[in-house]
Amino acid sequence: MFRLIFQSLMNRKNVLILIYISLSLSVFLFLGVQRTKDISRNSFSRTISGTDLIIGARTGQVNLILYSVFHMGNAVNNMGYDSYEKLANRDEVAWSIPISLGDSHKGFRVVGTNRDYFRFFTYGRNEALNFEKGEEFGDPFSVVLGSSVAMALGYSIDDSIIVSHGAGKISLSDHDTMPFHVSGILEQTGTPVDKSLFVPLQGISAIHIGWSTGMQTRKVTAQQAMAVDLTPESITSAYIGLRNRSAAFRIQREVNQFEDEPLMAILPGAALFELWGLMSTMEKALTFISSAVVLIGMISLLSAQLAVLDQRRREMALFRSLGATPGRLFFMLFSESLMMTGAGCITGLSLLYAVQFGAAEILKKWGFFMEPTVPSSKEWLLLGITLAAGILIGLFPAIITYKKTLSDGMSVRS
Amino acid sequence: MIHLENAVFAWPNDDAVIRMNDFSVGRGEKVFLKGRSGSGKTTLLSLISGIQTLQSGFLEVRGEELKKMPPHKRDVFRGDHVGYIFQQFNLIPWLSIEDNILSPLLFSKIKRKREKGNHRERVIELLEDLSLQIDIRKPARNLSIGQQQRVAVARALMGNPELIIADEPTSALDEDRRKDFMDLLFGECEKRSSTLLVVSHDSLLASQFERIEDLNDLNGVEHV
Ligand SMILES: Nc1ncnc2c1ncn2[C@@H]1O[C@H](COP(=O)(O)OP(=O)(O)O)[C@@H](O)[C@H]1O
Ligand SMILES: [Mg+2]
Repeated sequence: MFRLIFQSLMNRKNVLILIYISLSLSVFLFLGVQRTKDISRNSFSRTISGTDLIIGARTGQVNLILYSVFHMGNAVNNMGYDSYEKLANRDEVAWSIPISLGDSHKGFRVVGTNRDYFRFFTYGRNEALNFEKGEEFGDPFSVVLGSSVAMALGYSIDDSIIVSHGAGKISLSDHDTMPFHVSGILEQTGTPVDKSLFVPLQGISAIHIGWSTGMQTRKVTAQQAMAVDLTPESITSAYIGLRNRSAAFRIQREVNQFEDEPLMAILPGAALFELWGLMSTMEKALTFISSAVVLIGMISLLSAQLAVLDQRRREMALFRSLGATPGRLFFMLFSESLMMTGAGCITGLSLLYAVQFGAAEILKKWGFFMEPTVPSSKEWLLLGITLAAGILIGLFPAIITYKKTLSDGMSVRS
Repeated sequence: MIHLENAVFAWPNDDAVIRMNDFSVGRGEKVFLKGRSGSGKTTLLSLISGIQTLQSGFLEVRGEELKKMPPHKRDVFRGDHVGYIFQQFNLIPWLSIEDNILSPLLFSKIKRKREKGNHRERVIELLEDLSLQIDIRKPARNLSIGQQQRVAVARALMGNPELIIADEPTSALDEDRRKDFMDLLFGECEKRSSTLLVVSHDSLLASQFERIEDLNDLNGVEHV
């Protein structure tokens, strides 16, 4: 029986192979869009974990999380270091990490912070940062590299690095009088950490001595800088871990009403949620387009099946004369479409995995982290819907042929 | 083998096509039924083979009343006991000749049981009987119409059904081939002592048949 169905399909292999390819590709595209969506969400949400509050100058919460965590865009304003200290010393605060952004090295962001970053920062499932080589900062001019930075630029311990002013790819001016030396390289995390360089806040302060409003007004050497008090005046933002999570809302409210300067505190989860909302429009458009492509694949299958309808009627009259029950004929016709869509779904899925395995390393370098997993229940659902759509579309020519076969009886009348 | 009484059949929205008071075909009998085109020959055959059922009256095949069977049983019944030859388009073009000839076995347990031996040998044997020298692995679409009709006979004979039905089997053939074909069909059924019912408008082909009937005489339906 299945051999018969298979041979019937093989009879039209030229057309059907094309349709099979288009079905496979469309399923691949459809699932690919969904998976990219999930992966980007997943990799966004695993970027930070265990941090209860992020504090920065007053701006939008999406904006704050984008620049302070994902290093996208720039801070509009800084917050005073004294404000930070005030907040960080509160009883409810278990730990805090100051973040100072604004400089870069060969297109990678330089993050001014302190040793607490390596102690308290967690990502993913509360994973801590580990050193692949070396150790955390020793002196103000130490730098710790994210794994992608080390890999891309080929740095190793004790190499010396010049930090550039500003975050652009092409730096306008370098802090070349004060080079940093690599003290440690972090293990890969699959988060923006990989693409960052970490230097002590004092180092950031030191290289900015003699700078005002983005211009260097006088040259200062490292020795001269070391003689000055290097406590920073301001930082960009701070990550806060609380002793008790339930205090988060209260602290947030208090930070938002901070008297010394306009500050804001955000809950990373809530900010991410708002971010999803912004992303979802684009995601919807992509989902729409990719499902339209699936539909086109199915319509081409439908038209191929309808094109041979008359020939099929003769075949069906023949099979009936051989004792085939109408139900069986219906099953035959129907399985053809089912097999086509099924094959398309399977190939599309395999293609997705092939590409995902192939691209996993590359994507990791871009900071997208994904382990090829078994299809999620949502993906199964989407595959199921695709298959169901294929079944519905396959039913159509099957029903027409079936009805005609019944009324034809032994003679095919056109 | 076949027995009709007061049988009436009409297509939907149509006057009665078949109205036969009494018609029987005995076991092993070879009957030639002639009738003009449109006189209801094909309709009668679909009744006998259980594709359609009578509106009223009685029709028995092989001692079983078809109307009393549930539809799928009728299909199985046809598959098991009937070999059917169409006017044309007898073969599935994309199946090999061999698979075409063996196709009745796909749908009938009884025919399968009867052909226990090596199927390929059976196919070759049948084709030899029908004096066809063709490559059985080739798709059926490559055959001439004359060859196709003969392969159709081979298929009808496959599994040795008791009743062979042929619906104008020669009308697609050349004039000078028709006689040969009928002889062949007749001979093969004779050899197997199967019951044969041939309908055609061309009574010239009937010479060998012991019994020739005219559908016009049997059928109480007036045709214009
Ligand atoms: N499937 C069908 N549906 C409706 N009417 C039909 C069908 N098949 C045949 N008929 C009608 O029944 C009559 C007899 O047709 P048919 O049995 O095919 O005649 P024959 O085989 O003797 O040429 C014709 O008038 C034809 O129009
Ligand atoms: Mg006819």
